[in-house]
Amino acid sequence: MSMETRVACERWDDEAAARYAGDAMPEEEREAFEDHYFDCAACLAAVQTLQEAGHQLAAPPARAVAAAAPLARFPSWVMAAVLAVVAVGAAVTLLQERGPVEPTPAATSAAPAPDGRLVALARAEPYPYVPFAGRGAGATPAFDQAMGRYLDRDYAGAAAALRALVERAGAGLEARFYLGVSELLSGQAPAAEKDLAVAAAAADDAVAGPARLYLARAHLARGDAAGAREVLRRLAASASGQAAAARALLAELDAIDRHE
Amino acid sequence: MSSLASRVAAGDAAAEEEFALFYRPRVLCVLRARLRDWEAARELANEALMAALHALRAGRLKDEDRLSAFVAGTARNVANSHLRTRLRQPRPEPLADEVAGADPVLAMEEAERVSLVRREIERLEATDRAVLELTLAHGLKPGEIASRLGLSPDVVRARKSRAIRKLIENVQPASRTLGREPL
Repeated sequence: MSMETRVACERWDDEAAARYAGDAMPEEEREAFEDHYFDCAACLAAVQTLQEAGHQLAAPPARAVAAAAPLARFPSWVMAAVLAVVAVGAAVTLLQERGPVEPTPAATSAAPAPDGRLVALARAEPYPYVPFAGRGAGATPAFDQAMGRYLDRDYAGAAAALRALVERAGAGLEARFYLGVSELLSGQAPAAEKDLAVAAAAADDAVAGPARLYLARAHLARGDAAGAREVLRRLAASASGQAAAARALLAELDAIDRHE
Repeated sequence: MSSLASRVAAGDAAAEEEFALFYRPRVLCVLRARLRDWEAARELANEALMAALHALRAGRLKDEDRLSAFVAGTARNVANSHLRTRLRQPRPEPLADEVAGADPVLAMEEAERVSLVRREIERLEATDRAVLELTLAHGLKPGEIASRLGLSPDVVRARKSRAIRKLIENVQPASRTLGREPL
């Protein structure tokens, strides 16, 4: 994501957007400002940002993940983490219900073998992809073609096409990220680890955050719980938008440990 | 090329999608500002867009240069109607998701914004965060905030301006729709 120099509006300042977002603007001025920001990208962006900030600040911290719930009808970067965690939880539950019975001191209910649980925890949902020409490598036809396979759930095919793409110069880290996800989804965990580790180094959290989350799953798929924990701990302690998802996945790992 | 308004009036389905993509974020801002209820705003955004589309189809917009003001006014009317009755108005007809509500580009932008804003809020000093919360979530003026936090109004104004500027500057989702002009 580019951090371009912001073009400020010459008619209304940020304070106006703040008064609008804080519901502290007289009606006449409010209508004039609304008519203005409908055609002013800078003021619209300011309003959207400050409304979102006010919304988050008004919400208790515990609602950090739940706050994304209204987006559930859409595929999105935030929802992907939430959905993935839910999917992982469901997978673990399913495994607990259907797995071999191994009574433990802590519980007499059905409990699968630890390796099976790690594999279940590693099971990832495909990360949402929305075709858009302005998203990094998404601007190239080759990337679009590869992602077409991804959308068709042909992850091995997508991985091969994306591999060819990233080996040429100019492919962005988004391509590397989806390559890693495709590899993970097509059972190529070692390759996924390498590519997701590269994508995880992106400066943009929109790529790095999900990459770190999937990197942890790649570690789990190889049975490397310690490696997964390390990635998740760092992600959970960061300011990433995926921190909550990392904490949830860590909690799942902890639950597995407690049942061992 | 014909204006967006005239293309909608002529029954151009692509123009309607373009209309919804451009105006939905704007309508949502109006409704959020006026209702202070994000879920209601999300639902009523479809209604407002549909009402505007119906009016355009019926050729009720006389000055095409006033399209944005017309849509903003329609959103205000829907918000005011909701506030007056507190009952959701029945939709004239269901608005197809692909037209109004489920555009993945808009969804991605919103998700990015949520994430970036959260990151910036986490980075704020505690005092700046409190000033911002009292400003944006509670609509308090610097004097009122100053008395609550035991600061001088000038300090509150300075902190508020700085925090708002940083927030807006650092939260710039990879915009696909903000600057998009309706054709």
